[in-house]
Amino acid sequence: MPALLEATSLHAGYGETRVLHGIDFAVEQGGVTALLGANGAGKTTTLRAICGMVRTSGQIVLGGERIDGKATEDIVQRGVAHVPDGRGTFVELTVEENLRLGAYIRKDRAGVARDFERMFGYFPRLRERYRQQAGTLSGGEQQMLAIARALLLGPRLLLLDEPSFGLAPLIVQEIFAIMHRIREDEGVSILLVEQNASLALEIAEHAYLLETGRIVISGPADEISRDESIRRSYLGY
Amino acid sequence: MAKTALWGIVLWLAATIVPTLMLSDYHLFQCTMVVVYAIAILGLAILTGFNGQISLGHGAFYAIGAYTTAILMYQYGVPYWATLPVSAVVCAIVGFLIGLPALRLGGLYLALTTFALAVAVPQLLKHNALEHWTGGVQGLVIDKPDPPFGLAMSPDEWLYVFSLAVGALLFLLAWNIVRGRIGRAMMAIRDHSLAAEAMGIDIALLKTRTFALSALYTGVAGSLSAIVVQFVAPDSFGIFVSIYFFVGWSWVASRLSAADHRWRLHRIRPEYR
Amino acid sequence: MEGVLHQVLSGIASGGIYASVALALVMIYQATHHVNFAQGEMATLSTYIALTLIKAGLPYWIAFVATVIVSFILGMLIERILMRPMMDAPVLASVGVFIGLLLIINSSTGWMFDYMIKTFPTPFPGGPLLFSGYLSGHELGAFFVTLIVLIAVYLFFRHTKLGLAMRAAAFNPVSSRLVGVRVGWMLALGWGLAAAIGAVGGMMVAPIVYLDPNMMAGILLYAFAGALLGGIDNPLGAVLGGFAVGIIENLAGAYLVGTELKLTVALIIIVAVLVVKPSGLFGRTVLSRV
Repeated sequence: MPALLEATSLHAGYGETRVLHGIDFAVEQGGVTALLGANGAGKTTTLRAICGMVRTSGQIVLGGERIDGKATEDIVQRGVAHVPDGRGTFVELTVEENLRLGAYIRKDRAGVARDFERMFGYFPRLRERYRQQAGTLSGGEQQMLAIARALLLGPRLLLLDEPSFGLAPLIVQEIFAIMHRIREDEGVSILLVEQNASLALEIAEHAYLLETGRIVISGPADEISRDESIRRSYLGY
Repeated sequence: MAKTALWGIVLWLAATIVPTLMLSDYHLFQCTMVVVYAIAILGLAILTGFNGQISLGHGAFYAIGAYTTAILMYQYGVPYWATLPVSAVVCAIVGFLIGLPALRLGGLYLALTTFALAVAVPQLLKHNALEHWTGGVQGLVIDKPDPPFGLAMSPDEWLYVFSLAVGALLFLLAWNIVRGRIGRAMMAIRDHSLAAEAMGIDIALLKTRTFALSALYTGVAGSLSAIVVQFVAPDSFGIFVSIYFFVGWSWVASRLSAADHRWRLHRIRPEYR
Repeated sequence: MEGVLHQVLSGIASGGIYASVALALVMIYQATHHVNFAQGEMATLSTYIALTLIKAGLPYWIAFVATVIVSFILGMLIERILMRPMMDAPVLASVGVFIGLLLIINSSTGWMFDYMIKTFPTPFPGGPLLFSGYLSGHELGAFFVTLIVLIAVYLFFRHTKLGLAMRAAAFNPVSSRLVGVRVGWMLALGWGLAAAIGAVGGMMVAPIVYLDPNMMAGILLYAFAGALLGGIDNPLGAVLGGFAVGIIENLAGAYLVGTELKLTVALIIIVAVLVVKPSGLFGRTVLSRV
């Protein structure tokens, strides 16, 4: 099956600083691909590059169409939903408004209503807090809100940036359990950036390891998680 | 350094002598006003350019200086040159007093507040309670001073030379301050006040003093303007005086930045967002 | 007692105008963190346009609507052309641009329409009316017009998709892009809306203070005071602040400092708010991490 997203010789950076030095990777259709690496490796930059939020050179192809150089809003229109690091919640707006914004570009009201119900199925707490100001939610709830908001776009590709960040282990487990369900039921392809390698490798089929802007390891997730030397040197466990 | 000083003296002499000999009284009057505005803008440059505090209300100090001189001359018969030091002191005090609450206001809010001050000034000047001194809406008319020691020049010529002398003095003073320790501290506050504070600079003291100095300059300019124009009235000191000073300063600052990189205005960080 | 009631009612009427301009200011501030010092001048220009249309023979309300639409477009144009490069500029630069805009519009208005004071018609029946003559017909009419505008704006922002997108773009442009909101256009719309609201304020106040290029300077000050009092990042607060300033200004003018010092009252309000509670009565206190 051809990959949904393919990046070739991708360079990216901020101003004068180059962060990604010509990386190649692909996200398989319908599966979860993990992007691992330490702080500063360039994982967040990779997701931003896909969304057109940083300057890039090189090729990014989504579903056979080149999206590098396009504006973020146009890339979003093509079915890419990005849950940024730090959640990117609209803290001044209510949970309801955050979710409605997730479905902003959609025109099918019935479909949106159905998807709202499905989101409440995954994240019942969002229904409870529907009219609350999003900024008053806990970290875990905001993460759920961010994921729900992204899914309401009806995306082909879901980009998740460090969903475990800053959350208590129990909450992280809860969220990843829900992500397993999402992956089964939604049919959306996921590119997952995580520092928590073990959690990521559990859910992904394929994994890349990024180190200072270069891909150093690429392979099936289960092989990587079984390889002790890789785990010890790169993944810290 | 000596070379710059020499050039400065030569230029100043030329600026003093040549127009006086060659231009008519009316044109000299216009030149004098240019000098006056230059001093006023220098005041603003001290505050906004070197210290980063945005003022859209310097017309207020200009007005205070002008009225101080006018009242002293009209009501109390004080000679024109003697009003300048008084005006300087009065404006410095007012500047300091305004600088105190200004400490709490950064960037945009200070701009807003000084803007409000400038809009309110004409009303204050017209107020009944002060009418006895300020002459109310009609303002005050003052006599044009004669050249001292019976010099053989017209009053306009004398005022031009006088203003240029005062201006040169003030510019020299500012030059010295800006090049020295105080100037560096002022600029440090402008560029990164947090770091400046961490280095031990007493921000509050320096900022209020800078406000006072800046007010002094623009106030003296106002005094000169009252003497030269021979007239003060509240509606001459509306918001547009402040706006023109600000625009004038911006233009000069941008020309200087373009001309010489050492004069480039550093990025002024917003303290309040 | 009657005098107080009269001042209060009158203050509410003028407060509606201050509230409109304050709302325009806050809308732009929320989206860009810049204060539009030229807001007053834009409203004055709009009022002149209205006068021109009326003099050309258009019925009042048609001219009114046409002016609102033209002002909306002008506001959008100003944002797209002038403000676009200013987005991330330091405070001093943006203040400079706004002051420059103020000057340009003020001078252009004076040049196009001359500096003579003109009367501006009111569509409302004149003379002291309700409440035993406490309010003139125009004051009452102006109050209702501004109230309708404010309510319409409120409903727009709360209950429409576009209004939500505009709020989102103002609060969090990055996340807004990620849901497909075209942030640039939202900004332009915000400016257009602000210009339109300002135009309404201008047309409502012109019959009272007469039209000349400097008509709005004082009103802009009251609007600043109102916006700050209510909280410069809070539209509802700004509106309430505008009304409050209208009442305070009238009462203070009548009983405390005399009508000649009403602008000073605005100045005092501004200084007091910024020194005591900079975020205003309803705004959020912003703490900055060192």
